[in-house]
Amino acid sequence: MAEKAPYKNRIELLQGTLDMLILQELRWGPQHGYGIVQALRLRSGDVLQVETGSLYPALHRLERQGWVRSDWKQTESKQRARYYRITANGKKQLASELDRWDQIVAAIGSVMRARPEEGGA
Amino acid sequence: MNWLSRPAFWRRKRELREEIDSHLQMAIADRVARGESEEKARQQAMREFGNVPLVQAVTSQMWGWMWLEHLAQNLRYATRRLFRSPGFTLAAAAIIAVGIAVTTAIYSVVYAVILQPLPFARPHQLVAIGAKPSPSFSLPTVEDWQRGSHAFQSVAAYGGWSPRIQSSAGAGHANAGLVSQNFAATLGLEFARGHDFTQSGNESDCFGQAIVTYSYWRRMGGGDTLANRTIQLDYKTYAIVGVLARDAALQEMEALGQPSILTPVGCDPAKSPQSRGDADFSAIGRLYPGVTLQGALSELQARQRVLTQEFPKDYAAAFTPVLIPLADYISGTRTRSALFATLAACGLLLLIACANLVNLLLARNMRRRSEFALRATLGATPWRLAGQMLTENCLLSAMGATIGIALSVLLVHAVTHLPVVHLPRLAHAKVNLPVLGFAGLLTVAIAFLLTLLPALRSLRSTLLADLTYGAFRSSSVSFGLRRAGRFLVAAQIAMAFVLVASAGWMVSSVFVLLHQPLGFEPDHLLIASTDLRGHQRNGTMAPAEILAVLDQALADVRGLPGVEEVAAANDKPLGGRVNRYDFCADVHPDDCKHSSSTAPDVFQLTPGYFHTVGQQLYRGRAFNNGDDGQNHVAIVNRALAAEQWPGQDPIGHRIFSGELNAWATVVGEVGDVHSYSLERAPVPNLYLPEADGPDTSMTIFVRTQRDPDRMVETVRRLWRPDNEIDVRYVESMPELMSHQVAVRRFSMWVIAAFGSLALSLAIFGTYALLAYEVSMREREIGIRLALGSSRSGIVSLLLRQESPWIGAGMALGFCSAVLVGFLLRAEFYHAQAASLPVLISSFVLLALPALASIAIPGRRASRLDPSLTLRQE
Repeated sequence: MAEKAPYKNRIELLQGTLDMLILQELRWGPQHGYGIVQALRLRSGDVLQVETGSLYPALHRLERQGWVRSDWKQTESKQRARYYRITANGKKQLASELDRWDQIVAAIGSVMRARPEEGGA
Repeated sequence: MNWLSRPAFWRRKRELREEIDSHLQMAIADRVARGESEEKARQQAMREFGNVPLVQAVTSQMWGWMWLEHLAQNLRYATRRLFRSPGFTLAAAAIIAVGIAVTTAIYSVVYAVILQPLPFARPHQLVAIGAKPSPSFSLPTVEDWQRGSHAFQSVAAYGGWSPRIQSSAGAGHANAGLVSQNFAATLGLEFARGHDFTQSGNESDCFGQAIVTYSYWRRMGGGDTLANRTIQLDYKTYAIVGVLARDAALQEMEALGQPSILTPVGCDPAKSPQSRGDADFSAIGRLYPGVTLQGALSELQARQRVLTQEFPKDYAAAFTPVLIPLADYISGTRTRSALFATLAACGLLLLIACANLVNLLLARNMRRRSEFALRATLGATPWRLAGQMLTENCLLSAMGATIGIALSVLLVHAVTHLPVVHLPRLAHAKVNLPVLGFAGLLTVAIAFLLTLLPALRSLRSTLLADLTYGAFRSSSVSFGLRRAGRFLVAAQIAMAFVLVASAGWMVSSVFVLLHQPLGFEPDHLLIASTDLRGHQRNGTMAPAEILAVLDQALADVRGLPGVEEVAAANDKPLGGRVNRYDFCADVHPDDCKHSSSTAPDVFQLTPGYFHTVGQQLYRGRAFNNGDDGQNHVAIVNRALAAEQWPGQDPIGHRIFSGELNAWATVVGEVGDVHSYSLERAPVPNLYLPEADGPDTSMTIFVRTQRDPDRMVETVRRLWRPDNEIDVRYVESMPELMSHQVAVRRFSMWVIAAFGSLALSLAIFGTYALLAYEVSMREREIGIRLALGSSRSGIVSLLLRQESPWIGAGMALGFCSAVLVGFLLRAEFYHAQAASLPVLISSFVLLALPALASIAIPGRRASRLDPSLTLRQE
């Protein structure tokens, strides 16, 4: 294993959320792997740092499932890179994952913010 | 996933590398843009990215093609391993190569002779129609069977004919067949040139037509046009109307009489239709689609029952037709069983070789235990390890198979060009696609066989013991290995026993065949088959003229130096044809009124025949010059005398023969001879003087003073081709006999070679394993010796511990050999007589070396100095 950079403000991604984040990111337009890492970090205010060891397997898994497609294109700086694009199936998958995410957030939220009901006062 | 996706696999790997590379490039570019130095940016980017190979590996797992990558890894690793021990690799590949070469070669023969579809249209519909008790029947019978049948689309008759043949291919040296006009159509024969016989409904339209096989057409000079191409059969000219396709090699099919020339029967208006009682024909039927053999047989038998009732004089009461699938009939039951037995022997040999290899592999894997254990602790699954072994063995057996298949091509070439072996369609044997498929299956099977036992052992590996194996050598290593090895030794001994015993039976049956009492003296006997009509005469010769030509021919031979006796007969012992006519004896005169299958074979002889061939005269006298055809005398053999006049002196009794069409008096009784072949017991024979009804096709017997083979050319030169008589062949009797046992002798040599190979392999395997095991126990033996055990005590301890396994192998082998002997009893002529001695000698042949291979290493170990063995390591 490579030595991990000591980012203090990083949090581990919740299991299964990486796919959703990638799909969501790709809704803004085709993007390559490096771009996805940068965009996620930017949008999360430097909190979410995606490991390449998770990103690339995830991208290839998504492609195999038909949720994203990839093409080789030139970046603005003339670098050849593989751009991933979300497919129609991917959008459906994203919607269902988003639903599930909302449910989980709501559920966890209601647990965490619940006040003691009886005899707690 | 299939193999086609392999290029895609490599492309994806390349693309992944490129993708990661571009990721790094962009990261570096960003950092440089932010003002970092090029060097620092690269370092940081790499650090941020992490372990590149790991990312690659984890990502490529997402493609679901891991097995391919594992395979590639296994292959690379296996290649390295095999190259690291070239001695072992070469030895193992050589063993596999020999096994595969022999088995593949035999399989290609089996395929060509038995399994390959016949070269006829829709061959599965074709059946051979024979009959019991006499094998042949008449043309009207065949026509009645066919008429209005619901089972047979058509039935074609065929019979042998030995006319004098003259064509642009020369005189003689071919067989002709007399066939019904629908013969080619029934078989679905295709024509390379010309067409089938004319079947206009008007029978005489096909008069004088002939069809030849492709190979005979080539001998005649070939060519594209049939115009003005003729052939002379018995001095009559036939126009060639068709040439069969090259595939339809009838001349190779012994069961059909090996005809090179077909002529239609029933087209000659001069010849009256054959009588119903004659039995000159066999038949081939084509079934309607969906009709079973059983259904066709019951229809045929029902029809024959009606015919037998209608014509009781023409059919024996027991006469009944039998059906055999044509493919089986043409390959022949004997050939089939002999070939399958040889193939099975090959398989056994291959198994023994594999068992030996497994032994080697087990011992070799012992040295790899710590390697496997280490890999297991590092996370390799047992299946991965087994896959590794399987890949190694696949590679090994593929190497062996490549060499083996190349060898088998040479072997097949050798076998098909061997002059002694005449099997139907043998010439077509080659290493073709089905044969290669068989070899491929064999290769995979060998790889699995080699892997099974070692893999089972490594799958339940005891990690700790194996890991520490490298450091400490315990004195009693791996009970499992010893048990597996002993099991293999027992199995090898059992299989070798079967092969050795079968080989023994084969050898003894050929010996018995060649040394049985024949009823005549084959040594110093030369035979010449002649046609007295010669090339200048025509078909019809007066009896007196025939006798004069024959007398002159015999006198010519008698004048040669080194000739003791000369006589002639119309057929020869060992290889005679059926010559049966109506027959009855004075005690059962009614027999002449019924058709009977028990009529004796009739031979016509010149005076001095019995003396020349050395056939014993029991009673009465032989023929002499006074038997001029007027006094009607006959001689019977003992079998005929015992059949007609049991317990009586046959001399003076009278018999009727259809050949004479008159009654004759028995004047002598002679011993029995094998008239058909070495393998068929003597049958009743009736001998008549040649003068009673001269035959133009005569075999001349010459008793020589010295080696008859040296006189073959002299006798052949006596009658040149343009001389008065045609000579078909000249051959010595010992040579003819060795031809008769040629196939048997060939399979005897094959099996004997297998037997001795099996014997030496089994002994080698036993010795190698036991020597290895004793060497592993040196320490223990040292302790025993140090504690006071005697040296002979050590040897007897080893014998006691190991011999139960060998004994079990021997017992299993004995039982299997008895079973195999029972299954193959048809292959062994008079095998029952030789059965027990062969079993006992096989037992001794295997048991002694096996025991010796315990005792010799044991003795050596017991002589070691315990103070040395104990201090080792």
